[in-house]
Amino acid sequence: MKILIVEDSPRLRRSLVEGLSRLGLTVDASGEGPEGLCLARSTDYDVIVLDIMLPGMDGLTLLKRFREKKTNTRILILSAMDQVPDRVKGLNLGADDYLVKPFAFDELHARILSLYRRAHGQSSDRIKNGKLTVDTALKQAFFDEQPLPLTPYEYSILEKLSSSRGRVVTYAQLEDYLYSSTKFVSRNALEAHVSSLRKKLKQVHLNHILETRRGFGYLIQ
Amino acid sequence: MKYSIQRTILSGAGIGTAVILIVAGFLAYSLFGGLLRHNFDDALLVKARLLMTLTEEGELDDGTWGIEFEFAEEFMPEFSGGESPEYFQLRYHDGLTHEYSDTLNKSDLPFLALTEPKISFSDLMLPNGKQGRLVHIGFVPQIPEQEERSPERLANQKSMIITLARERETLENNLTNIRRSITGFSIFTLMFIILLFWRVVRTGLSPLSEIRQQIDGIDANDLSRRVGLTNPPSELEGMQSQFNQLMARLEEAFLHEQQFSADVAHELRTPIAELKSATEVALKWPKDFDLAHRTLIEAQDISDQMTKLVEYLFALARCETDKIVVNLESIDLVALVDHLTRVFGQQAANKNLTVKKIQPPGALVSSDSTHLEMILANLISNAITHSPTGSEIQIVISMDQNTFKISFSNEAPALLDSDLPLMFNRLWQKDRSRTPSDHSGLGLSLVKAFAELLGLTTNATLSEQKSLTIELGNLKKSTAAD
Repeated sequence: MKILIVEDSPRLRRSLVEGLSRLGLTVDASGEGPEGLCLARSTDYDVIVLDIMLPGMDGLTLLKRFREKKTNTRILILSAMDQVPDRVKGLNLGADDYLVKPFAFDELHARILSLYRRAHGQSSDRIKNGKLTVDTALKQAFFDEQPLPLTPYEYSILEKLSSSRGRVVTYAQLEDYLYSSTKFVSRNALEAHVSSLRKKLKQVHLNHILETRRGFGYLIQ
Repeated sequence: MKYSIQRTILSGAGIGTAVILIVAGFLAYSLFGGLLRHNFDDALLVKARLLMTLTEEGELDDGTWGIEFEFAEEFMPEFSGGESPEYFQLRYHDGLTHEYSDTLNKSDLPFLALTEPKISFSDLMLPNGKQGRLVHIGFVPQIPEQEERSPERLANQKSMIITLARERETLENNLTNIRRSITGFSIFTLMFIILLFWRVVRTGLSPLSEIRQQIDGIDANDLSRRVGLTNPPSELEGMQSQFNQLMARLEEAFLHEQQFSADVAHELRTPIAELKSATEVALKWPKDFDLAHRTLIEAQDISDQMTKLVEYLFALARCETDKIVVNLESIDLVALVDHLTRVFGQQAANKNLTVKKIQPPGALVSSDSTHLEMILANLISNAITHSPTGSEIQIVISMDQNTFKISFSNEAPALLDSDLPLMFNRLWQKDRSRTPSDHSGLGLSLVKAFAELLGLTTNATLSEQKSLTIELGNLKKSTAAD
């Protein structure tokens, strides 16, 4: 899962990036409104965590301008403004959730996961595909209820492909999903992770579940 | 019942008019009634006197002296009967009847022993059962001119009493009509005046009703509405404008208060959120000592920041409740400024700022050194923080008669004239995002509060070249007593 945090407090931004990254999320972060809007428009994030009072451009303006172009990304407003009119305004402008500061880190994480599930039409943390199950909360894949020994990258590839089951996920989308905007990773590295994942799936007799559409990307049937 | 101007005016006018009408009615009734009674009595008296002239004392047919009553019924048929009979009775002074009208039918009228020239009126019940009025006249019968008027005869003349009575039904009817007319007129006039007053008062008070309706429409959550009368009377013009000015001040204060609450909430919620998030993340991976160490350092920074904020707020609160003691002493202003520019020298150097000081020697002022140092430190720190890198800060001390003033000027390219009235407000920041920094927006509020405590003036101006000057004035020159 790839998320963007737009928060002007460096300390809060740092701890959120640290914590959410350690929980297996791919996290980009920005401390300013215009930069946050630029990142949000240029990358396909699953969830954006957005502060309201931002330098350069306030969060509500960012949200409004972002929603003019994109509607599928889930947005969670994280703000110290706790009045009902503030929440109503944020939600009416297109936010999917509103969390008031101070908040519990676990609650934020749970809400991000919930938004992710809603974005992908899931009702639970578990994506099932025959005997293969991907638990997005535990960041663990299972075959016939037995855990598969996947690396974080392999798991993330499987999670992205499973959540987009039946649709081709392009190389660029997968790269965006796996890596934050500050990291540059070669196509070879991505292919190596996919190859490794495919081998591990073959070991449990899932030989053809992961297909390569040459020139486009990958697909899980 | 609730006090009401309309009801007060109406009840006052009603009661006043009613009293006037009652008094006027009473007087009118007394006047007209009295006049009617008087005329009635006059007519009765004239008739009685006529009867009196018919009475003579002369020689009778038998040659003796006696009373002759020359009464002819045909000329006064009312004494014989009819629809409005009248009654008379001529009596000697001892009550013995000499003559009476047929209408009395041998009964007597009341008797009053009067001597000449007494006249007496009274009411009575007539023999026919109706109410009547009678007059008694005591008189001495006249002696015909041709008869002898010897002193002896004159001395022995006896007085007579003529009593005349007639119905007073007409009089009573007239009086009743007068009473009814006056009462009816009074009630009509009272109703008319009340109605007239009601219309006038209602029309006169309609602007007040309009104001009340407009004020009723003002919501506590929307103080932007103002009172505007369609046709304001001169008496209410001042009140309307003063009310609107009050509303404007109230709205401004309310917005400031709202902004202050929101700013306080933000200033407190953000560091708490930072602390909570950092510690929860660290506790999730308790064996990561590097993360724990970084979190502890951040927690310390956050607690320092919050401590500073709380201390500022407490200082402001103490200042606003006059709980701060002021100790006046002689302070060398130049030395104090030099000391502070040294303290903040590194900060200025980090931004490559030039601090230019224009200060006359011997600027000794009388003030509280701790509070004045705090004020000046805030102003210098503020100038350094908000100056663009590489610019110049000017500190100028000047003297004006017995006071000194000190000003701090720095470039402020983003500042607007409209920001000047707000910059001394608590927690005001030019950057509305309130991005966390070392400045919470309380510095200038403290400067203003402590300046007022020390009797100093504060003023902020912005030049066309976007140079902000904050001036601290009215610094009293130190005297030997200090």
